[in-house]
Amino acid sequence: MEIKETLVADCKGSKLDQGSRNRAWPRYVLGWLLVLPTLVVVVTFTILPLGLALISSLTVDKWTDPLGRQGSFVGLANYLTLFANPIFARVMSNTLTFVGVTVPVSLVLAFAFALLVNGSLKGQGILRLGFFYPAILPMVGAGTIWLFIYNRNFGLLNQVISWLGIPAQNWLGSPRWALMAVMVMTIWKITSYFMIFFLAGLQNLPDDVLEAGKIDGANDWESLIYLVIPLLKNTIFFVTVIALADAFQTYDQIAVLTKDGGPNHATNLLLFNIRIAFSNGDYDLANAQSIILVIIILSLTILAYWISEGRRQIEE
Amino acid sequence: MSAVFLIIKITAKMLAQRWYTFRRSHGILFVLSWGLMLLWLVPLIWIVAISFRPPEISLGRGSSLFAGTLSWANYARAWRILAPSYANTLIMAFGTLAVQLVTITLAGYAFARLRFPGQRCLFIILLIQIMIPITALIIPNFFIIRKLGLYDTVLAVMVPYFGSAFGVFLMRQTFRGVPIELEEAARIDGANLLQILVYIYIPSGIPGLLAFSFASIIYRWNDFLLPLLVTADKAAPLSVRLSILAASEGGIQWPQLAAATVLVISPLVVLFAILQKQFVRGFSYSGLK
Repeated sequence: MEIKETLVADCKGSKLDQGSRNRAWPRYVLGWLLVLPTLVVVVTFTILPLGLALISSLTVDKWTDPLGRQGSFVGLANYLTLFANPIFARVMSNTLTFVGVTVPVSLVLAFAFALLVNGSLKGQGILRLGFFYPAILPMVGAGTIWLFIYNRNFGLLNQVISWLGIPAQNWLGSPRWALMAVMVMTIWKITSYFMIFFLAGLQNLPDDVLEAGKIDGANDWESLIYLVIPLLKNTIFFVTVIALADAFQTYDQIAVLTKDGGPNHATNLLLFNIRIAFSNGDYDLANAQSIILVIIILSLTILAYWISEGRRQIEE
Repeated sequence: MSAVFLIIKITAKMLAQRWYTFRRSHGILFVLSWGLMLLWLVPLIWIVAISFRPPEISLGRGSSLFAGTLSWANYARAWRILAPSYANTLIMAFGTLAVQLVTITLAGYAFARLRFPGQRCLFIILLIQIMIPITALIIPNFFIIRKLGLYDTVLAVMVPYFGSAFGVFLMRQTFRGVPIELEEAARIDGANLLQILVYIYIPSGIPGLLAFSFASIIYRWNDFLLPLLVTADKAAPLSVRLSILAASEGGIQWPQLAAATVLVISPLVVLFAILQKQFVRGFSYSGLK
C-alpha cells in the first residue's frame, strides 16, 4: 500500500531528492540520459504498439496501413465479431485446454524431478544434463525433433504401439490427437525448464531448518510436506504464474508440428491472431484479439509481481 | 463419501510412507531417476540416429534406428542450407547482447545510484516491457519494424531487444550492493562516470552480467515468431530456416531435417554441457525476474 502511494506521488513529480547537494541539476539530466536508450526501445516496441493495437481494435479500417490511417470508431464491435465467431470459440477452448493441461502436469513433474536430482545420487551431473537439455533447445528445434516421434509412417510412437498391436495413428493430423500430441511435446520441454527453477529453490533452502526437522524425527515425506513445500511456497506460486503467462503465448511448437494448427485442431490464440492478420488481412480484428491476450497476460503478471513483492518483504 | 476420502487419504499416506522409507536405500530412486532421464533423452537419440542415415535408404524401410551404414551426407546438405542463417543467428545473438550489456549497465547504474524526477514513473514504464512481451503485440510491432525500414535485415530482430527492462532491474539490484564509499573515493580522485563504471561497478557486476548474457543468448538463438514475420530470405535466422525445412511442400527430406535440427541445437547443448551451472543461474534469474 505504502509503495503504491509513493509511486503515485513520484509520478506527479512531487518532492524528490531534495538532499542531492548542489550537483542536483546535472544529475537530473544524467539520470534520464542513462536510461534513455532503454526507454526509447520500450516506448517504440511496447508502449506504442500497445496504443496502436488498442486504437485499431476499436476502429474499422481494413486493408490499409495500420500506422497511417484514420479508421472510424466502432466501439467494441470488433470484440463482438470475435466472440460471435465459432472458430474463435474453438480457439479459446484449445488455448484453455492447452494451458489447463500442460501447466499443472509440467509443474508437478518438474517439482518431482527437481527432488530426484537434488539428492546425492551417483552420476548426478549427467542425470541433470539429461533432464535439463530440452530447456535450452529452441521450441522450433524441439518441434522438429518430435515430428520424428509423431510421423505417421516411420515415427517412433507408431512403431512402439505397433509392438502392442495397436494400429498406426495420424497423431498430428487428426482432430482426436493433434492437440494432445502438441501438449505432450510441450510438457516434455517445459518440465525441464521449470525444473531448473525448482532445483535452484531447493538448493537455496536453509539447511538448518531441514536439519532441525530431521532431529525432531520428521521423515522425508513429512519434511517435504511440512517444511520444503511451505518454504518454497512463493517460488512455486511465482513459477506457476510465469508458466501460465507463457502457455497463453504458445506459438512455435504448434506452428511446426501441425502447420498453422491444422484445420483448427490445435489452433490457439496466437496462431489464430497471425492467421486473421496475415491471411485474412483483418488487422483490426487481430488487434482486438491481441488486446484480449494482453489483458490475460497482464492480469497474470501483475499477480506475479504482487507475490514477488510479498516475497521480497518476507526475505528482508 | 467422507469415509471413501479417508480411506484414499490413508492409503495414499501409507504408500507415500513406504515409498519414502524405500527411498532411504536409494536403490529404487536411482533406477527411477535414470529411467526417467533416459525417457527424456529418447527424442534426442532418435533424431540423432536418423540424421546419420544414408539419404538413399528411405525411412520406413527396415530399421529406422540403424540402416546398416552411417553417413555424413545429410549434414553436408543441411549445412549448405543453414550456413547463411548460422551467420545471421550469431550476429543477432551476440550483436544484441553487446548492445544490451551497455544499455543495462548505464540504466542499471542510474536506477541504483542516481535520484532524478520521474524515476519511479520510468521504472513502471520499463516494467510494462516485462509484463507484455513483444510476441503478444506482434502485429503492430510487425508494422513498426517495417516502417522503420528494418524489414529483412538482421537489425529487425535485434533492435526491439536493445533495451532490456529485466536486465536493467537485474543490474540495479547488483549495483546496489557496491559500497558507495568506493564511488565517492574515486570521485575525489577525479574519476569521471565512465571510469567509475568501468573500474568499480562493472567488475562487481560480472556475475549478474554473465547470468544475463547466458539467458539472453539462449532467448535470441531460439527466437522464432518475430523473425518469422520480419525476415525473409536474406536475414532469416536458424529457427526460421529450420521451420521452412520442416514445412517444405512436396515432401520433407527427413534425414536432412534431422541433421539440420542437430546442427541448430548442438551449439547450445554443447555449451550447456560445459557451463551448466552458469546457465542454470542465468535461467533462474531471468524467469524469476
